[in-house]
Amino acid sequence: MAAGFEAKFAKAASRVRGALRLRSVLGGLALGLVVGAACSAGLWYAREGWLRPIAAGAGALLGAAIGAELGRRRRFSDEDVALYLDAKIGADERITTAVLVREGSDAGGDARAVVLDQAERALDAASPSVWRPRVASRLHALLPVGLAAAVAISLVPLPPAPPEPPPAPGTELMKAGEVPGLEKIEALAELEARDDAQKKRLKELADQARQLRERLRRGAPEREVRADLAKLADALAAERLSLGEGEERRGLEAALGQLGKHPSLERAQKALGDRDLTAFDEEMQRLANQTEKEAREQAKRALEEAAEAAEREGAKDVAKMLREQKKLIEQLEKRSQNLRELSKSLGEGLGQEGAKALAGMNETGDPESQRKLAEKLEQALSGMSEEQRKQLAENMKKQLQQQLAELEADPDAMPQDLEGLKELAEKLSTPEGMEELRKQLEEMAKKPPEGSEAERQRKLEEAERGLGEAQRGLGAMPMPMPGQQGGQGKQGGQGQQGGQGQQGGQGQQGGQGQQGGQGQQGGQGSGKDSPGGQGPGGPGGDSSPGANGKGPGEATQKLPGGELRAHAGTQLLPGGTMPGTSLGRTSARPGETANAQGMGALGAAGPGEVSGVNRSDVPEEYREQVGRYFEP
Amino acid sequence: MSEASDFEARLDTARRASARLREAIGEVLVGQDEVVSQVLWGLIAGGHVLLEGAPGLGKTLLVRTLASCLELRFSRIQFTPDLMPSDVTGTNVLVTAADGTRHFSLHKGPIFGQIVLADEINRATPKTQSALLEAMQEHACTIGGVRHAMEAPFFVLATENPIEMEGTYPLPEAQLDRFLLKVLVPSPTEDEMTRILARTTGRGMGDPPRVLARDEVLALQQACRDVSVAEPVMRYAARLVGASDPEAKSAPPLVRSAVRYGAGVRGAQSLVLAAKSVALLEGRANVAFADIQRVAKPVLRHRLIRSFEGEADGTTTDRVVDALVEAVPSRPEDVERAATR
Repeated sequence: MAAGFEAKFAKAASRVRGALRLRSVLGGLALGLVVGAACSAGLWYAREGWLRPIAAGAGALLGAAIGAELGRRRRFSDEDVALYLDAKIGADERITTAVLVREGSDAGGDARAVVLDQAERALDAASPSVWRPRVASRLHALLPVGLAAAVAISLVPLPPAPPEPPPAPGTELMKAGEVPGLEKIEALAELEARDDAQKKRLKELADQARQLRERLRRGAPEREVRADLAKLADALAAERLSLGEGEERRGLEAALGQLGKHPSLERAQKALGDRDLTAFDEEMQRLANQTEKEAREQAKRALEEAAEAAEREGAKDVAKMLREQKKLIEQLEKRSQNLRELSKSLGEGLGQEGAKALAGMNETGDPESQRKLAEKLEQALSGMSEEQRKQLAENMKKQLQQQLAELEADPDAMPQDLEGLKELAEKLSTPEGMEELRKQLEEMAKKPPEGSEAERQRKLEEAERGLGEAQRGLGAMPMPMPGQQGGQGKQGGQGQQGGQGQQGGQGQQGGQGQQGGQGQQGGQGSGKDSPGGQGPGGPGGDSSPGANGKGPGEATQKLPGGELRAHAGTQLLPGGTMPGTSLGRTSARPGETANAQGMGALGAAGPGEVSGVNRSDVPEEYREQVGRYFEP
Repeated sequence: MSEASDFEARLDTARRASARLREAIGEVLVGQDEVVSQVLWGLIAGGHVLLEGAPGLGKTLLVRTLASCLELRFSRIQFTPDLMPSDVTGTNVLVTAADGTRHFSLHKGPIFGQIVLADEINRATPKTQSALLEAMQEHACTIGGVRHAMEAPFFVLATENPIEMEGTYPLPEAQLDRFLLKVLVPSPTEDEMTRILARTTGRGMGDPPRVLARDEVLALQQACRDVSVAEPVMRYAARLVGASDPEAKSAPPLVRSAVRYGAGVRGAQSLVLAAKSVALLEGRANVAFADIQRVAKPVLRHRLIRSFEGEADGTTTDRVVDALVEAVPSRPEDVERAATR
């Protein structure tokens, strides 16, 4: 009898528990779907289209899982099931009592058998439809609702982007369809970087420029645009000065120290110290063009020593750049030698200007003279008849034989010199070779070879000029940058608004460079890249106090700024120092600082003072100058 | 005979005996079916019953009729203010034997009956009332230092009159607690009154028939004890009693405000015992939640001590019991929710 009740009760309990579990799962699923649909709606509002069905599905799954877990935790015990069945059937707790007095239990006494019998009869008498729990509940009505909502929200098109919030009162919007100049910053993304970190930084710069262009196309508050432009300017300047910065600073100092030991490399040292790699590159060209072989060899040795010193101090990038420059010198050396040999063979055919350029190149190693010489040689070769070409080739061969004879007599002669001569002679022996030579000369007349760092710096400077161009285009005053202001140096300088250099070039806003400060080591100007002026302009040397092209002793000009309320009319004393300033450079070691005029030993310096300018409040654009002022 | 058929037979006997008793009592007493049922619950559960009702509602008649229907020794004590305990229990009297010797002999009082009617119990002094205490609880009586056991079954039926309270001595709580049930005897309905008039104003009626012998009564009481009670049902009884304590967390607001002391352990025992007798008389071998609810009022009404606020508000203990039954769930919440869906 007990077995009969046991089996029937077990079956009923299983059905009751299954139905309750299913109800719990379905309830969780319904709630989860609704929550998922709500999340989908949120994502729809946030315009995250593809996440919508995932959110709804995840909500449903999570809800079902929670429902299953709740169902497991709330699983009815036998006693609960019995109480439930008694309540549903109206069995007056017969089943509950029977469950508790089942076989194995001592409870029940004499009544046990009757209780079991009565309970079994009660179970038999009741139809399962009476006691089977209803799986469906009111909560389950949410199931189709949630499903429909989730599907609908997943399929409905995303809402249009909300209109931009109106600018704050007083905010001026700046809008520009085209912003010339920014493309030069965007081009930095394609620039070959020194390392991965720099590549990332360059890409970020390009991205910022692109985003700025986009924002300007849509219209953006003027203040934000100006702030972005200023940030870009800061970042570009920092990138331009990044070689030898930070951990490589000591290595750079060591390399500068090595270069400083050679008087002929003084200007190269200065250019490298200024992180003016274009000027450094030009100085290397000048050295390669020198006629004295010993001077060239000395320069190469100095570069190698500097590279080693930098490497010892951990400045790998600086060392790499120096070694690259050394190779460049070797290439240029060969090239200038070839030019000389060719000029020599041409003789009178070179013309007066060519001879002058040759003389200039031999005297100063000036790359411009070399360029001009190449141009003249190319012109000379272009106008040559077949007869003249043969004659020239003959001359070259004779020259080669003569050189070989000299080489036998002088074993110290450099073999590459002869190689170049031999190569020239061979080229000139055929019309095709001469054409090839002519093209090479034409190329040389256009652009001298340059190191990768120099090329990077040139591109960065181009980007800075592009930024200045963009700033002007947007009506902002560009921040002063090296090489932008007018002034005249001996060798000119690349100027954007530049004054007039030696080779001319009218700046837009600058004063006459000739009246500017007299620079000592200005860079080579080139009017091509200067949107502000037709010709090259450039900054004065580092001791040039003239701003806007005005030298000391003269009153500053009236500026056309409508907003300007006053201007300085103070007569500046030429060469005089301002109170509280110090002048001059003193020999010192890294870590020391100049704090007194004319003092040799600078005493101990706190560790915080080394490269302190980089951590100071001095604007990025001026740090280089300020740092240079205090550097040994 | 198997266990099942044996107990089944006892259940059947109980059912038939109950029917016969009702029928026999019904020949004398008009109406009062619920009162009769409750008195039978007390008899079968082996407890004592306190009948409360206005004079003339048939309380004494019911007890006398019941005693007539059972082959049990009946005794009646009319409680009066001058009633002495020895009048209830009996006393040792000096007896002179035929040979002239003298000795004390126990003259048993009316308490030594098997069905004892303590009529108007609240008219006696507490001292005399307490003479019943030992007999009711221990089924024994100590007289002159000698303990005398009562003959089973021992069933005390006391009556009290809720009006004419002047010169009465309300029963102390300890004594009230010894009554299994307190049965309220209601006034008869118009139909019942008419039938009473017809039956009592004519010729006198004969005695009701003897329905149950002593052994049958004892068998019924034994069967009542054998009825099964599932643990959830016992827990329910315990929860009900626990919630009657105004300090309990589960106490409903009415209990908190109207009750000073709740029922105790004896109350819970009485609930289960009375519920067992209900189940037995209905032919069931187990107790249901409904049985507990059905006996809750007669079992608990005299065990709840009202607070001043409760008395002032006129809150009856029956109302409190109703509130208890309503507030205390019989089944676990999950089961109840699943069952009511």
